[in-house]
Amino acid sequence: MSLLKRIFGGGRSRPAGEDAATHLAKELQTSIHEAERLVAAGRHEEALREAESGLKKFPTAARLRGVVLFVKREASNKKILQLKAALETKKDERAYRELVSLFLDLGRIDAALETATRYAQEFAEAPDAHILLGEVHLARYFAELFARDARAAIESLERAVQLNGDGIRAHLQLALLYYAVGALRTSAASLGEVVRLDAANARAATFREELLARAQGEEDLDMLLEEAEESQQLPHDPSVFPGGRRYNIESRGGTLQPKLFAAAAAGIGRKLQVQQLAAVGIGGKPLAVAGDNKEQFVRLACRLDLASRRAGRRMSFGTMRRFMVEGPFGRIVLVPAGNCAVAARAPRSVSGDRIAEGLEVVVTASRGGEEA
Amino acid sequence: MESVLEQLGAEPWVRGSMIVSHEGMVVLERVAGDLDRDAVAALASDLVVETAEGLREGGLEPFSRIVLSATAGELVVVGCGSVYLVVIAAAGSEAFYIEIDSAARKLRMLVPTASMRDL
Repeated sequence: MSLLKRIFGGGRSRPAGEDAATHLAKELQTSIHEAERLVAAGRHEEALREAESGLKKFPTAARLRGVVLFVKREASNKKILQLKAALETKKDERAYRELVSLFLDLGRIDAALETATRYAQEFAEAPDAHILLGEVHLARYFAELFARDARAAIESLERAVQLNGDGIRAHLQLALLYYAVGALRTSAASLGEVVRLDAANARAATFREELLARAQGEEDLDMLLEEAEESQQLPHDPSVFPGGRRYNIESRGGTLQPKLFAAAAAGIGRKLQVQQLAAVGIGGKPLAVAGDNKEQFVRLACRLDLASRRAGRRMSFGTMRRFMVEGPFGRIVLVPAGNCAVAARAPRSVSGDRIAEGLEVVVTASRGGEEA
Repeated sequence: MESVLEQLGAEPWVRGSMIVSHEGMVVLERVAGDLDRDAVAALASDLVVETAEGLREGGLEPFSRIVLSATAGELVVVGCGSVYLVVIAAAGSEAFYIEIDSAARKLRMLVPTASMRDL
């Protein structure tokens, strides 16, 4: 059953209204409080289940993500220390792979990269080491869309191909990256290598044919990488590609529906005393707006979104979570939400956390009909 | 003003701090070695100017504080009279904001108060 059907009560004809947002807000609060209560009580496994369940519906809820990371970190720290100690005394490929995997699971991409780099240096002739390094670079690329990470991934994966031309995994990862950034012909060429090595792989063969049919003109990979970095958007969702889901790429979300947005905004607006609320596309395109002085606020939201993304990206801060501006006008909070950003202005008496959670609810309710 | 930045720089979570004019000009900076100081200065200025202009266009008053939070760090800008204090930190916490507010108060006493509108 879809998220909205669950909220509005199955097949009953109840209009999408403010109740939906209020209901979602309560659900999010309950989930956060329960997960944090379980952490405080030391019931980490239950806390993890509660937080992961909440994240299915509110995938960018920062406090739920915090619970997941905390619990995983607690569970993994001992193992990480053991693996690090083992690697100090003996160069062990399996230990390297396990350590990289743990770091990736914790979202510690920089630590994973450092470990994978050391692995590739110590086992310079091992194709697996270069594939793993390429995959970590890819994970970082899909998290932040810096062109330099994509180039580093290509370099590592091509090195793996040089060392073992019969390895399918490196060709597949290259094909996935090229597909995501829009280099369809180049992606088809890499898939061609997969088909050459594994003639029985009908899925790869079919996908390759589709890509060749859709490819148009010459492809400038550098330009495509720069465009993706600048717009912070990939032309193709890599999670639909064979093997693409493993990068745990945040959902780019569905289309915001202005009517649902207005209803959800009204519900949250009253509760949090929100005066203005706007959603903008990644490239600065206004998607929906509610409250006073709509045009002015949506322009402001676009400007804040672009400026904060630019600053966050170039300062190597990782993925932007929140941008908050305070002044005599109150508090403006802007949060990225997949393929858009949403911003709201409320009095300073309302905390940034509460406004951000309200925005999360508005986005979820506005993408009506999606299975969360 | 230098001593205020020096004191902030002694905090383990601070990777850099600077004082930026309302026009975006860097007056003074203390940035850790692992950061590209010119790039950080340019981007902090860009963020300050873009935010201030966006608010003005939107018919709103100047900001008193902005906080950019990301997975690997935070950038905080606090209005201090005619300048802004910019702090680049590894991560945020309550102590983090208390220290920044304390530094901002000291700066307000030192900086000529040509414009107090954004306090």
